[in-house]
Amino acid sequence: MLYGYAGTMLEVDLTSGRIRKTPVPDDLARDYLGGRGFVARLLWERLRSGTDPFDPENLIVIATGPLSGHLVPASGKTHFGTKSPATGGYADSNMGGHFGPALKYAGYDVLLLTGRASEPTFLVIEDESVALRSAEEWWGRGAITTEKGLKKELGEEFRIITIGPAGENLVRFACISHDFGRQAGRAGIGAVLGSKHLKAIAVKGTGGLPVFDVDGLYEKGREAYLKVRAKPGFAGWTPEGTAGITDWVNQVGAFPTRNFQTSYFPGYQKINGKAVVEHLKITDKGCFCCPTPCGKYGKASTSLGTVHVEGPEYESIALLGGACVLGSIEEVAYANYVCDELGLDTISGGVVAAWAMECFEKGLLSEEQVGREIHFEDLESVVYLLEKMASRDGIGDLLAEGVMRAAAKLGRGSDSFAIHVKGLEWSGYESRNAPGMMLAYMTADVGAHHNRAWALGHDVAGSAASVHDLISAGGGRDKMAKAPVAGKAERVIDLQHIRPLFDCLGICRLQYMELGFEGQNYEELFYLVTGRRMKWDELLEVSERVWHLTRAFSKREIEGFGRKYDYPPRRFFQEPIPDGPNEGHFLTRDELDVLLDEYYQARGWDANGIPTEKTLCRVGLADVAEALKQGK
Amino acid sequence: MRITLHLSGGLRAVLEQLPEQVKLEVEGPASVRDILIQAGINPVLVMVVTVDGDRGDKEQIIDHDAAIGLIGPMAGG
Repeated sequence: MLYGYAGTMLEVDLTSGRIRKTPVPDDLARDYLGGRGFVARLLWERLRSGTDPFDPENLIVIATGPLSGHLVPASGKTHFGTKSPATGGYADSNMGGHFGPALKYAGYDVLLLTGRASEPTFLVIEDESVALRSAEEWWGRGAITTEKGLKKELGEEFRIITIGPAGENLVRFACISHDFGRQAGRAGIGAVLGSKHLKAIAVKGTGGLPVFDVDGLYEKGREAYLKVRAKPGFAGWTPEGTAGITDWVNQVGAFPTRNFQTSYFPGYQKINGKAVVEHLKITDKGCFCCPTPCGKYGKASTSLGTVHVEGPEYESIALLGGACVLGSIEEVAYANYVCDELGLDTISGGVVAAWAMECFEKGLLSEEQVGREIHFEDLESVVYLLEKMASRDGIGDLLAEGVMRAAAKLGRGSDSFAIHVKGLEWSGYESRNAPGMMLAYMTADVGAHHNRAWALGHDVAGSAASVHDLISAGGGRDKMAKAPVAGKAERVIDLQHIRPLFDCLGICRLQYMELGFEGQNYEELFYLVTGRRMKWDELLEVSERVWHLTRAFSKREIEGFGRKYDYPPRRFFQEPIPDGPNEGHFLTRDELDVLLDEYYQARGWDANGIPTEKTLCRVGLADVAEALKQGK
Repeated sequence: MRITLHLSGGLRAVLEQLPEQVKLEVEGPASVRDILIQAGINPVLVMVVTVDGDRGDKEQIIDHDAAIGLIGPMAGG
């Protein structure tokens, strides 16, 4: 028996309506744990190489982890994966909330979706019962509106994921929404659901899960929950949630401002965590079994209207507030709500809007092309662009392609400030003086995403003045020193194994990464749930295996994939930061090559950034090495 | 003054040599920033400060025995 798991994979072919239930293979659970690991392995094995992301044959894998749904702190994570319409390579994205636990209680660890329904459809899972229903009346409606409507129709106890109009219209950065404010936001997985005409999935699960040591888990799970809440970071971090980092990111000159033209936003105190608490927040909102509820549900009134919205959390603040230069937290929250309802990733949506406004500012897009004037610091411009993107109307058809493709089509040098890696827009950390973070963005498997490795703290520690310097300077310092470039690879690799491990286990990483809930706690909880004794380092070995596998997947799927896909836009290696704490700093192209060379070598990849046969065999991926050798 | 510093996970991740708690004697009054420097902690690495459980800041003057929580760099969601 696979303790911890529900034990079944549910496969739904949306073309034929065929439903199949198969056992979770023991070796899949052993070698890949769950969540991201399942996503990566199942995509590798089951997706026909060369399938277009919007082809009905593209596969969506929705996977929970062995700890999802158990009495383990913050065990509400669900992982989604597919071949990305944004990058053409590997995509996964996870969300909190309650969907994953409900799926397991219904009896399924994994949900596999293939095919394309002949009409708008939603999937209803109620324990053993699995049915496809018409979503005709919901098609074209907002993601939040649909979730609310389906809860009314089916019952509050259903846990529901939806897409908005952006997903229906195949916007390449459309997200999946859940729980009125949680998203699997990145890499366009919502658009793949839209291509399959699947508007929503509703799950109700009433079953239980096999646990290796029930009494032990109850005792240690409770203890762990309380231990997290007693951590020194808890009292300072939880009240503002992730929005609380806005001040610090500005103070160290890493806040993406005006489409990443600079890295310091003078008005940051109007859009920071304190502003969230003072001007928006009604209540905290947490995910399944979470001891540290970081969601801030609130109300925002602007000149465009009043909305209730969860957030904005830090990334939305950075990309809608900083990159688009919005002037108040209410405006950021309003734009956040518009994204949530339309089903747009707030990160990509913000970056795309900011790119369009810079194009307009530089005369590369005209009023006639756009349909009106658009400007930074203007909520109306931002909302206009978001609505156009989601509907693919007018200029929105170009923007819905994401900045990489839009810039390629527009030309005239607009690619130099199209802020992405591999086709995925950059998240909230300007990295021209943060070489570790830059390397993390360059090598993240899904594109420019921070949740594979967040190295900014280490970069700042490396570039900040020494304590002795601070003493002689009176304890204060306004400017950051140039961060050293060499020697970043090992740290970034470590981080790339740690964060994604949580995605394999099906739990939130905030308690570990941010509050310092020690790794050995997870070893113990994993043992009590599954009966498998794995040391922290052994768990990390699984995460390493998955990292090489996702790189191999992109190599298989993208013609000519390799080193050239790992570079950031020219702005980051040609333009010094114009002001703020990092004024004058940037990384040269040669420095980027130092970062990549050291990284590839430490990874055991060749000079083009492809895992070698030896490396793949070392981590248990001999079959993958063989497939790459044969060009499969 | 007897000061106890409580370091968050995010801070200890970048200051690996330091434990979760650091106790030190400091001549008071002193700002949190000065106390950090005396403890060998670069203030720029501290994102949020709590003093005896309440939100504080690095310029806050401490004139009594205190427990100071230090929250280090952390990422968004």
